Amino acid sequence: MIALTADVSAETSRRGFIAWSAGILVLLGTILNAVPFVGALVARPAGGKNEEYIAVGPVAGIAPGVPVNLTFTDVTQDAYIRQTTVRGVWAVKTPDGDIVVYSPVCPHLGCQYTWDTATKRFVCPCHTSVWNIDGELLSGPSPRDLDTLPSKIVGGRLLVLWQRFKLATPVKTPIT
Amino acid sequence: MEREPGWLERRIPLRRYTRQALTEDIPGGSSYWYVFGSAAALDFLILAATGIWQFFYYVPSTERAYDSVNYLRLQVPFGWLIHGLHYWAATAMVVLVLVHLTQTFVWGAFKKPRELTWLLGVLLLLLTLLAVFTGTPLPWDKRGYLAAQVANGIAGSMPLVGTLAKQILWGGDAIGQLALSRFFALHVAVVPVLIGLLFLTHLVAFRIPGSAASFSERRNLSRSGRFWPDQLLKDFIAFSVVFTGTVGLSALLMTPINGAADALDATYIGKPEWPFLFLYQILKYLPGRLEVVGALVVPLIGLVLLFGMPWFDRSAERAPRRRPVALVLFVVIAAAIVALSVQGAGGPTEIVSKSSGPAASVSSTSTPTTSTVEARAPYIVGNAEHGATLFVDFCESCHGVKGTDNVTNGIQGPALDPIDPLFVSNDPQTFAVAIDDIIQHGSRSNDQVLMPAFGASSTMTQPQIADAEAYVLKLNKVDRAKVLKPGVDPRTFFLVTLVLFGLADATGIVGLARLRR
Repeated sequence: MIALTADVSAETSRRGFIAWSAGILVLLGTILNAVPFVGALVARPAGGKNEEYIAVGPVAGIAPGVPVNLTFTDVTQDAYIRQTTVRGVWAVKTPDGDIVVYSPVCPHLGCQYTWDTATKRFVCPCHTSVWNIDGELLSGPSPRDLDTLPSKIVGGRLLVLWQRFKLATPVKTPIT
Repeated sequence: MEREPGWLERRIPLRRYTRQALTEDIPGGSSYWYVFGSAAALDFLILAATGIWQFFYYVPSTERAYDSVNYLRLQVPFGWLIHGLHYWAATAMVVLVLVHLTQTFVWGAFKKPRELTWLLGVLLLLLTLLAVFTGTPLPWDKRGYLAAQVANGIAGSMPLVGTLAKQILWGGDAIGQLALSRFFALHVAVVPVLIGLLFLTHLVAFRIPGSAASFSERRNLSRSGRFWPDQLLKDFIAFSVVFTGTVGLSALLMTPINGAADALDATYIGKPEWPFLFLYQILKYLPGRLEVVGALVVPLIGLVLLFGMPWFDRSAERAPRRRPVALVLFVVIAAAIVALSVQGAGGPTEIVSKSSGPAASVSSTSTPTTSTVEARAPYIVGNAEHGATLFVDFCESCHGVKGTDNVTNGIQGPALDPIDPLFVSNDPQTFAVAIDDIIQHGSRSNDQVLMPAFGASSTMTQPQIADAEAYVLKLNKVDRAKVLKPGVDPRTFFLVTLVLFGLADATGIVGLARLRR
């Protein structure tokens, strides 16, 4: 009777051990197979970045104190779709003759702000953020000043590097 | 040892259901011969999972489908695996279902009282084939496009049902967006749901009389086995072979890149997917007016034979040795199908015409700059193999055989193997973009055409230019279909899968043996 009990308990622990190792292997297998499935949705796909300066127009027409909205066509790669998009940027001539280019996207939640000719301020219609002509935040919920875009002048033409920035953060961070 | 049912168990008796599902007698004991049905069912789960995952990237649009599939394969981490698993698991599914059917036939397991299980099984085979058929056109590549077109033609040749079938499957005569949308809807919604439902019915019908087990009554009476754990372990081992195999195929062989669908390209001869090769071969032997025989009569006879099997062969005898007529007939038909399939698989898939070379038309090429053709080619992942064929037609006369500059006709183009290093890039798309402009617009010097504007003059279609570019890249050791973001190195992933499933199988085998001792 005692021997039989010992047998049963040995049998039970053996079953237990095998069940455990099988369980661990199944768990490992599940994790292994979850990696590609999760990875395919979470990891960043390979994709081209647009890193070219695009000509947006002649600088001659930009007068000091009057922001100009310059539109241009940008070829973008949206995953597997190549498309041309018409974009606009705000160009401002500073008193000392430099040209500053602002992204047209409100740093708050991504609306398109406009230049209010009456108050001579940039105003976002969505949540009423207001900036002065130098892009400094005057009031409203925007977390930061207007975002400047890299630009240069070649042969009298203004060239702009189109970028997007993280929204609703105090620091301007490019989205790569 | 009966545990007191817990809170959850009292409400949803999962443990009881699981025990019921696992408790199944197998007369004569478990066997590796019985694994094919469950392996097919588990394989279907791989297809379901990878199919759902492809939804995140695929779009069923004639304009975008091909690019979206290649984006998944080449740019999405593990995309190669998800697409590869779907492709190879589909192949495995057809094989497993066919082997399962063969085994059931040879073991005589379709006989009374299992007629309905057999019937449902044949329906599942047909649905599996329908899934292959409707899945092939989805990438909208050359092969899929042609498969959809040829099948449409075949449907058109059928009396009575032809027009209706065309309307249902293709949305009419044209092979376009409506056809792709229909194939998509059938492939991702209708067919898999039907397979799932019929599979459950098949399983329930199977469990009512229980396992047919061996055809040897002596073996069935001598001992008895259980589904759990003996047969389940064997089923799991079979599944791990199938799964590791499909991972291995996905890792080591790239699923074919066939080039974008191109209605204007007559140099590409498509072939149907392998399960349909025998029908394709039969059509080759038949004169046009008898096409209906190959397209309709032969498949109908096959269906009648398959569906009617339990009623044609009514004897209770199951041992194959005592059913010589049925067995011989089966072997003859199977051998004929295999032979026709092998024959169908052989033969060329490309036509080299050599007649439409550009050399003759060089001087007449129109001014290239006026064209409105959109130069999409460098953004399409081309098929280098087909590019080689096109190269012979369009490029060889000036650039030499295989781009090696051995030209005899006096019009001398630069060598393309190797190409001017100015163009070369390790990134396939950058490389393709670099050479694209000159292929699209040609080149001139002092009013003399040096190279025709293949794209701008529509001498070549954009998919053709993409294929030719893939070939030029290949000559320069750059793979147009390079996996840009594998996630994990495919070979490493395969090795880890192999080791892990090997360990699991070994643990199962050793563990079960120790339990039995």
